[in-house]
Amino acid sequence: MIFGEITLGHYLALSSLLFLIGLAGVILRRSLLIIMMSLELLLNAANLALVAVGRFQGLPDPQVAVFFVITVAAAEVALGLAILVAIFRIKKTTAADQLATLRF
Amino acid sequence: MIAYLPYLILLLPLLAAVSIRVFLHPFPRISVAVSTFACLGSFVGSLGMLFSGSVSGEVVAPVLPWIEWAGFKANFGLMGDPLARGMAVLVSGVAFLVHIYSIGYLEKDPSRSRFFAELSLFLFSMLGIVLADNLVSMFIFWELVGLSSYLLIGFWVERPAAGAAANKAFLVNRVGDFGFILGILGAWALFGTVGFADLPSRVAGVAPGWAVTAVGLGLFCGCLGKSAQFPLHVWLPDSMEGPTPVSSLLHAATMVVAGVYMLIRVFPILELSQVTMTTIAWVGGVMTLLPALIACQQNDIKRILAYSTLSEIAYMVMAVGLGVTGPAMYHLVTHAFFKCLLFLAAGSVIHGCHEEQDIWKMGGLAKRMPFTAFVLLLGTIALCGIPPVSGFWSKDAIFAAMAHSPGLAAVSMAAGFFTSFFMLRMILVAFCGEPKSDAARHAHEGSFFMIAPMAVLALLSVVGGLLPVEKYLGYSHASEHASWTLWLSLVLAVAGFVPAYFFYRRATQDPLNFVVLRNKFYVDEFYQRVFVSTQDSFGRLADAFEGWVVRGFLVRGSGVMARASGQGLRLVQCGQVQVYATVFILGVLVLLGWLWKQGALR
Repeated sequence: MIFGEITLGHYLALSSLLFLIGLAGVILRRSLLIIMMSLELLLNAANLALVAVGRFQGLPDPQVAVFFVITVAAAEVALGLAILVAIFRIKKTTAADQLATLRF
Repeated sequence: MIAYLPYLILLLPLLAAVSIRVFLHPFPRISVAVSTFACLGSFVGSLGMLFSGSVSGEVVAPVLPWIEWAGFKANFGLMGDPLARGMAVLVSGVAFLVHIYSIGYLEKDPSRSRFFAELSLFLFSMLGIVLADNLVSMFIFWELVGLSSYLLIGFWVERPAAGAAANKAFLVNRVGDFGFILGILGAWALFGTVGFADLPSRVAGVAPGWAVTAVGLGLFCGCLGKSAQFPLHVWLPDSMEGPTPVSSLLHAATMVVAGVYMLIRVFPILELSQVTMTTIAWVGGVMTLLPALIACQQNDIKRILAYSTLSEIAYMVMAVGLGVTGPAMYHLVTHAFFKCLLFLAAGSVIHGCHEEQDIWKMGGLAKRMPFTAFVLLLGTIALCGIPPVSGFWSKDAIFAAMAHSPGLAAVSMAAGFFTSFFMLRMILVAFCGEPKSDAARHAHEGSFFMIAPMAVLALLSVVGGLLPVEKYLGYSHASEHASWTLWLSLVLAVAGFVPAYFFYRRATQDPLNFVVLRNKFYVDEFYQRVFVSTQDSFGRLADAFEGWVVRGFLVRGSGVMARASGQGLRLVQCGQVQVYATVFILGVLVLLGWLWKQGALR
């Protein structure tokens, strides 16, 4: 093993990396589809951190909470994709910077 | 039944006024008849009250409880003592004659329904003052009289000057009424009653002092306003903008003497303080002379008479101040006769000359209006106090009381001199010589309705002095006659005719020119400068404060603030979801950094 024993620190580092990638995706990408995928990445980064902490501390609660997060995320994706399809039908685009009608 | 007579007398004119206003307005002829007959009814009722029972006995009217609160008690009752009975006869009688005169004077006026309704309202209010048995209800009628005076002065609503004069009369009277109401409150505080019948007994137990003086002067303030005495006299000459019958009834014969009547009612209070009495006497004394001087240089026939009214009322006020209420009341009665006559005659002249009021545009009217000229001459003789007509007897009674106050005697006798002067001036200029305008050339007498009241009043002016006025008013005729004052006043009154004859016998324009007198001692200008301008400045200041600070800064300022901040903040709303997300993330970072710094995350 190059990195030796896998510790909580490794899990948290990976989680942070995933979170940052997700953030970059949300902020920088134009396509709403990619932004939603990046949002999933954010959620999963948080899930990973929760599971890791639960596992290492020997607590069941964070691991249970993750199931709820996954459920909510599934619902969110279903709803988000439906809205996305509706927007595309009306606006013929999914670029976030094109969808700027809610302004002064 | 007789007990309800005062209520009948009082309410008949009110009934007429209300029914005209509500139902009969579109029918001038019926309105005129209703108003006149209501007035006649009041007059007959007053006569009945005067002759009912013994001469000195009282007609006691039932009393309605009215205000009872925290020890304050005011009933609504009417009084039938000799003073009230005599005054009621005078007021309703003169009013009846003026009603008849007005039928002729306003025969072509389209709004005479309104005029007669207002005249009836006035009669109701005036009879209320006369019959009221306490100060509070008198004050209410007092204000009603002010209202009807306002309405009648401004009767010709299309003339701006009439509106201005009505406003002036109303506002100036407010000043006096303010003092009056303070006096009423003070009287209640000091004596525990506002009823006239209780006053003499309550007053007996109160020691003289500054409080009594203040109450007396407060009540006198009411008289200053209503009776147009200095310094509140400025409204009366202007009120001549109203129709002449109004000037005759309200502003000469009845309403303006209400102040004197009130002083006589509260005389027990006034009597307590020597300061009050002296003030009243001297205000009256000075006011006999000043208007007489002003009248010598006026050209408007009604204004000349208005100034002489001021002077004559001042005689009554002075008599009250000297402690002789009997002669004051006596002069009030005779003055009502001859001053009403003079005004009706002046109205006849104005009517005949097609609304011309300037005596220098008249002339030669004696030939064209012989009857008017004759009654005007009679009125003048009565006014100047030449025996044996009425004015002589009443003025003599007042002069007799002045035997021991030479200062007052001097000014009031000088006033008598100038009264004779300006009255003869008016007659010579308006009635003698050649006509000075077309209007005067085509002058004519009025109708029967105008002539008949003048004839009755002329008769009363001549024999009025012989009527047992004081007996009916409950005073004994105790004044000593044939004192030196009588002869001196008589000589001065006759002497006044001489220079007037000399100056104005053939004058076509005024040979005398005293600017100060022509401008009425600049009192109006003084008030304009001091009070009106000061008030205007305050008004402008308050307006500027309101405009800049309240309206500009506070109200509009807060509006502008909200708008501007909204304008600024809406720039944040760019519509780019990713920008919002970035700001959100930066915000979270800042929050985390702050928590880190606080040590909450360690």
